[in-house]
Amino acid sequence: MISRFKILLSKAQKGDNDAFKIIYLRHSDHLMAKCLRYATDINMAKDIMHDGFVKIFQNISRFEGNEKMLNAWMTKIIINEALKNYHKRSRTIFVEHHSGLEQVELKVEIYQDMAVKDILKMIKELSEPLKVVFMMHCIDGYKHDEISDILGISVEASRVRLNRAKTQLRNNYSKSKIVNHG
Amino acid sequence: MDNDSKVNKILSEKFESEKFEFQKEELWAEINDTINSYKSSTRKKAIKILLLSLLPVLLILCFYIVNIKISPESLHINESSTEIDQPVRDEASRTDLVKEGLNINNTIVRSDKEPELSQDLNNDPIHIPSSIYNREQSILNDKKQLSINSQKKIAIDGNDQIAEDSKNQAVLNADPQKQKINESNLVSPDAGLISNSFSSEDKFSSENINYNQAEMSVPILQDISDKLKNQETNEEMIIASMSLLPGIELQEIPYDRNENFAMAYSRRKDRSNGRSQIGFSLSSFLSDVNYNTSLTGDSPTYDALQSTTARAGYGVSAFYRKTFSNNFILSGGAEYLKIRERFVGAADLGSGTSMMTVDTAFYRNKVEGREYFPGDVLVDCDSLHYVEHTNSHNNVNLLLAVGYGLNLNQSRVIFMMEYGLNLTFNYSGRIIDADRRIIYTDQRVDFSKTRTAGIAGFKFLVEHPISDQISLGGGFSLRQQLGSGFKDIDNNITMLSGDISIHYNF
Repeated sequence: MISRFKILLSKAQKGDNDAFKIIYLRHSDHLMAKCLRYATDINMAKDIMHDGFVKIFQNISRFEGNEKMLNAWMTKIIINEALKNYHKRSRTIFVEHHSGLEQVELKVEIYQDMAVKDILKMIKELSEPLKVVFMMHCIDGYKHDEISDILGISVEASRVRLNRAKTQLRNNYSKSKIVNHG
Repeated sequence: MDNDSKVNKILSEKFESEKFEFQKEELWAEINDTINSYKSSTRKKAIKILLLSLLPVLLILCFYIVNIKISPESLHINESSTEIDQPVRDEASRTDLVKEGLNINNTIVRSDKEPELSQDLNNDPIHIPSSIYNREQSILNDKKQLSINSQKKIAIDGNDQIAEDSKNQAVLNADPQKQKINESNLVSPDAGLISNSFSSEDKFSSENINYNQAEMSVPILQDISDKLKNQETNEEMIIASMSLLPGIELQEIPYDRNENFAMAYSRRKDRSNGRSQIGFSLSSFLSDVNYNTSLTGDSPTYDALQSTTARAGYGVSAFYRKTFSNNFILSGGAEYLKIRERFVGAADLGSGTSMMTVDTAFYRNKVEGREYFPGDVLVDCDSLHYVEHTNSHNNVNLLLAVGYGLNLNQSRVIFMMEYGLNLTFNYSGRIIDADRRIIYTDQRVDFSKTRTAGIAGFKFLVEHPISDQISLGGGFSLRQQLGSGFKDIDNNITMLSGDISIHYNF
């Protein structure tokens, strides 16, 4: 028996706009949240969504799999689109200081206890290059060599940025604690 | 599980159910518009591809139609659709003549059909001037079985052998009494014709027979008409009579197939082994060199390459081309191409002064109008800088091509499919992270110094002879690099170039 998803996917693959709209409506909230993490504001996130969904439409005929796989595939495209957008706006030369990797970061339990909203707030305070590497590695599950390929930086630079992001998160967390306790 | 992995797991789970509510319909309207325009452009692209793929077929068809030769068989005269090609056969005519009983080598023998013809001519009241009448009469009476048509064959073919043969005595196999030709009848002051046999000088051609054509035409036409009506006239009779009509010079009718084609190629058509030529060609790119990247390629390097403008390159090649007798072509040669790329972009360098490495062959700061060359340079990073760099690389192609040549009246059109080996070497520039035009040394990526790949393409060429041995050509080539592309930049190049060439035919 052919599932409703298969029928929907089949129609979308044949270029049916209505079928594609249903897919869009089902996944847009989740994907928009991802866009917002990488974007600086809602308008930029919408741009990323727009470009990402056009790309999804152009390539959906090649997709094979179930709904969960479709979600993962679409997420990948949207994140790549977000990273492309990030590349366009990050023209500044980022000077790397290879000064050793200090393991100064928040304890795992702290992440466990914090709400998503608070974590996001802390991440937003990071500088753009650090934020991107941190989100790619810690939230979206990219490995350092993948980050290196996508961002066009060395694996070492990716590790350095992640380490620095964690350090900065710890500092920000400490500051917020002091403020709260104070 | 290490600390890093634990953090990953916790954060992934936390953000998995992350959602953001927004105005979906508003965004969908924009996406829908873009999708519709994409669909429309895809359709247009498909139509273009279809038309482009049909174009060669249409061209071949057009050239074929233009190239159709007017065969003698298709040439008709008069409403009776009597074909006048009969006397123009060469080898076939000889065979027919022999079949009909005419030995054209030494002896003219009688045909079985001839009595009917001679009888008809004898009985019909045709008024012919005395000299012609006498001659015709003598021939028919002698029953040489040599129809006037046969005489025409000899005359029109202009074949020396036949003329020589006909000069020999015509031995009559029929009644020996009638074989004697009245010499006085053949000598006519009217025609000035002196002949006691089938001499090669007159060849019985209409040029050498001076008679009053106007006087003859009416009764002869009447005769033809009667014969057609009675279904008794054979082809030879009509042709014989046609030769006496005014205004019709059978010599003017194209009888030699080879004479239809003035060009050198056709004159060599009889060569069973075909012909060969060596050539030298110059190419120049008609458009930018296009980099083909996959649609899903997300690397910013690819995107930058796609939007890159490239300067035209050039190429030179030498080749050997063999054209077989059936017009199929086999060609091989070597080609040198130089492709020059230009990368244009903007870089917001922020503020401050930094020592940087310009990783390209050429760098121009358009704001300040300064130019930098490879090496460490000091750049003031206080504004948005527009940068431009160039790369150039060399290619050697070893090409093998098959094709087909269409002979036109003066020229030849060649369609060829090419396939070969492409060797790229000696890059004089570098591309690094395409979004960052200036970058530190440890982040740059060198192009691979050399790279081999396949190359395939299509060539369209029009060739025009300027002498028997030299010809000139002009056309275009569309080439595509095959394979996995360069080591670090996985892309292939499509090249559209205009070609001019000179060929030596032997």
